[in-house]
Order: sequence, then C-alpha cells, then structure tokens
Amino acid sequence: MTLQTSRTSIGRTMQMAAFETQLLFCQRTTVLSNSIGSLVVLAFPLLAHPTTRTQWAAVEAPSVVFVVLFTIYVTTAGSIAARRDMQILKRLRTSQLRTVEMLFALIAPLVLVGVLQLTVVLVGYRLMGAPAPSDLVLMLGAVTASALLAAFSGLATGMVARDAERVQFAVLPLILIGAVTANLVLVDADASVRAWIPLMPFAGVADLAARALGVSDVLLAPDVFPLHGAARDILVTMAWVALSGAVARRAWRWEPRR
Amino acid sequence: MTSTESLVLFDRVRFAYGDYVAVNESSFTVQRGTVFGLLGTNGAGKTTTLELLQGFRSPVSGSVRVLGVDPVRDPGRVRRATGVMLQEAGFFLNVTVERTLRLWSGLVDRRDDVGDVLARVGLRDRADVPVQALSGGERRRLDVAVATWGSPELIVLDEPTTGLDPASRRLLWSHVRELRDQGSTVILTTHHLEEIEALADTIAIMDRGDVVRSGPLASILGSATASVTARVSEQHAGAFSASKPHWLQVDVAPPLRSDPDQRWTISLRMDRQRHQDAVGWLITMSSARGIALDLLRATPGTLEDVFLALQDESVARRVVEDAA
Repeated sequence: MTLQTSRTSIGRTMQMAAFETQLLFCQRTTVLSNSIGSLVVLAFPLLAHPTTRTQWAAVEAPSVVFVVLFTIYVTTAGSIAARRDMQILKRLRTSQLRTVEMLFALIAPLVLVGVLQLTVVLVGYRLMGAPAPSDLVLMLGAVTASALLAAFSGLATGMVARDAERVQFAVLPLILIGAVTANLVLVDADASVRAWIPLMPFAGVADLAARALGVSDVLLAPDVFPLHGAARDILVTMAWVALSGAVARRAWRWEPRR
Repeated sequence: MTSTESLVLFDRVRFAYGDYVAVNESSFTVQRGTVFGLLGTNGAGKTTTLELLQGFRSPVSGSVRVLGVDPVRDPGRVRRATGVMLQEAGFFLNVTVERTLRLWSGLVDRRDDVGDVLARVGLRDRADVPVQALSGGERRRLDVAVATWGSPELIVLDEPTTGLDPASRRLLWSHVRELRDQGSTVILTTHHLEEIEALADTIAIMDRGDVVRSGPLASILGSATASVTARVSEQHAGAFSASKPHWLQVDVAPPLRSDPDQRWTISLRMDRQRHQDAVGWLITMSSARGIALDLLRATPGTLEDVFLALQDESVARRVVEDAA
C-alpha cells in the first residue's frame, strides 16, 4: 500500500526552509522594501560625520538594532500572521513537520536575509571610515542576539496581532522602543533614565555592539544592576527572548481569529 | 495486523471547550481497511472528534488510540501514517499546483507520483496553474490530492465534497473506494447522507457531543422505517386498515381543503425489509377491491430517516430534561 521514504526531520525542515527562501525572493516588493528600509542607515554617517571611535559607535550600535527591526522583526511578524490567516499553518500541521521545524523553516530565511543586510551595512560603514571592531566575538554576539530577539518578538507580535493587516500597527511600539533605547545607550542621559535603559528590549544588543567597537566605558549606570557589562546585556536580551517566546506560545493560534 | 483489527479506538472520550462539552463520553472503533462515516448536525462534535484522533487536542478523560498509539504522546507515528483533509486549510496561493504537491512530497514520508496523483483528482491539465487561479472545486480536489498523497494507512476527510460539482463528487467517491480496496482506512464526515450510504461500511451518528448510534451501515439501515403512500377516494379510505397484516402500520389522513380532488391519503409504515411486501399487498388489495390508487409513492428507509428519527428523539429528550 504505502511506499515509505526515510526522510529525516532535518531533511523535511530544510525542504520547507528552501521553499520559504524561494518564496521570499519571489516577493520582490518585500525584498525591495526591506532592503531600502535597512540600507537607509548607510546615510547616517553622511549626516552625522562621525570621526572618533565613540561617534562611530553612536551610529553603528543603533544601526544594528534598526536593521534587525526592519528586516527580521517586521517580516517575521507579518509572515507568521499571514501564514495563520491564510490557514497555511493549519495545513502544515497535518504534515510531518513539527511546530518548531515549521517555525525554523519560516524564520531562518528571514534571519539569513537580515544578517546579510546587517553585514552589508557594517562593511559599508567600514568603507566609509568606521574603525574595525575591537572585539569581533562581541560583535558576532550582538548580531546573533539581536537576530534572535527580533525573530522571537516578531513571532509574538504576529500572533498577538488580530490579523495580518493589523501587523503594521502592532509592530510600531517595539520599533519605537527599540529605536529610542538603542540611541539612548550612548547618550549621557539623566541617571534615573540610565538606570532603566538596560532593561529595555534591544538596548542590550546595542550596548553589546558598542562594546564590540571598544566604547564600553561610557555605558550605563554600573551600580544599579548586580551584573555588569556583556553578561548583563546577554542576560537581559535572553530574558526578552524568553518572554517573547512565552507570549507567542500563549497567543498561538493555528487558525485566523474570526 | 489483520484486516479486522481496530485502527482507531475511541473509548469514553470527553472533551470540553470551557463549560461547553463538545465530545461527551463517546466511544467507537474503526476497523482497518474500511470506510467509516461520522455523521451529525453542525456543532455535533465531529470536527473536534477528528482533531482528537489526530492528536491536535487532548481528551479531558477517556482514551484515544490511533494505530495502537496515543496520538498526543506519539504524534509522529500517527502523522506519518495519516493523510488529512480539513474542512478549511490554505495553500500558498502564488505557487503552482504541481509545485504544491512537490513541496508536500518533501514534508511527508510517503512516496507517490505527482502526475498520477493529479490524474486521480482530475487536475492534470491544471498542473502549471497557480493555486489562486483554481476554482473552489479545483482547490478542494487539490486538498484531496494532498490528503491521499502516498495512499496513507489512515485518511481523514472532513466534509470532502463540500463545493464539488456532481461529476467531481463521483470521482472522489470512486477514489475513496479505490483507496479502501488498496487497504487504506478512511474516516469521512459529510452532510450528504447519500454519500455515507454510497461509501461507508460503518458509521457513528453524533448529537451534541454524544455518539447516539454506531455500527455497520447495513444494520443501522435495517432499523430504518420504510413507507408507502397513496391517495384514494373517501369511500375506500377505511378499507385498508381493516384487513392489514400485523407488520404494517396504516394511517389515514383526510384531504386538505385546498385539494380539488378531495382524495384521502393512506400511509403505510413498515420495517425496511418488508418494503416490497407492503407495495405488493397494497396493489393486490386495491385491484381485488377495484380501488383506484392515485399518486402511489414508495420510500425505502434511508439513512436520512434514521438520522431525522434520532434527531426527533434527541429533541424530545431535551424537552423532557428541560422540563425536569
């Protein structure tokens, strides 16, 4: 009766991820709008004329956050809500893909595109005169952590949004919070404000990026938190990842809200 | 495994959405290599039952076994062997029909041939068309193609012929029979009772979460009441009640005021297996006595009769419960 093939779980996930990648590149409008949205940050140095390492960090660190917000966060939220509303998730649920494999296949191409664009931006800054990162591992950590947080918070926002159309409004709060706090990381603000900034989503990754560029001495209120430096940034970011995951799980729906 | 082995076992399963009990202590079994029809009105609990057997939901109490395993604890085993056609599920709209099937072939372990599958569901000439250009009926056929890909051991079809034209329905029916003959087990829900009569070996009828009747279709149909009606003149209306055999119930109804012929209606009700006898008796009786029959109509007991009778019982039971 049934002929079986011995396809592995990884094989199925890769098959789906390849399909999602192909689909992503077929949607020219999405690719174009994402590229333009993120590559706009290349204009920042032309306006700010940074010369010192600290000035470059003030441009680059928030740029990391901007790029992942626009390429990974917004597209993940839109894609998951669209898949739910089109009842694709429901269909895939009847295949042998597990939920986590389904999500990996959807998000991996978006993260890949986001990281590629971030690389283009960082290389672009370097060509425009930015200093090389003093700690490459920290920079990789900042990129990885920001992509992870953008993907998980995108899932949460997409699931919380009532429908795919309303995602464009649902993403605004986190974009604003992310953009503002990423900029405040290197601003010598009031002490009461600086005490809370490290707790904000995406502030940690902006801080990590700044540390990678060797300007950690100007950052944040060191005596407010028991943990300091990169460890604190990673811990706070992972806490936001966990919270986003919990929200996505709680709000998860296989079918559109009617 | 033998052909009489139970592929699906539902044992006193209960499931509730908050206070609303969708499935109430329901039990039934589905034998391997058969077509099982699940019937019920809207909201009877059919779709929840299907979701329980796919492991999409956990029962509050009772036990569900599919292919010998708990589908919640071992979803991999169940999904590997199950093809599912949901009432509603989407496709990637800008992807072609053929690409959709190729994608599906990569997501399940069962092997099949895209061309053969498309031919089976009558979509071979639509292979290069994006899904969004398909008609509703064609999309339903693509649904069938996905659900039956690789002839799974268990096929779940939730209202598969909704939106299909009569020719496509017949095509699906023959496809279902073919799959059963090849050894697949099919669980089918539908509102078209004649579809169940044409395809099912066993059935379960659900009402408000309860399985109110289950068993082989033939035995359930055997319990249906058949009827024969005819119209006669007033002077002959009483002739049939007097000499009726014991297995026949005869009712006589006066004409409606609006009836220009003012003919009385004779209604004969009997067990389904006595249907032919009743028609013969009525014709013999009327010709022997020179009674002219008008508008003779014979209706064998159908699944619809059983279904409606069960619904009447259910309504009556609820009235009594409400009154108590």
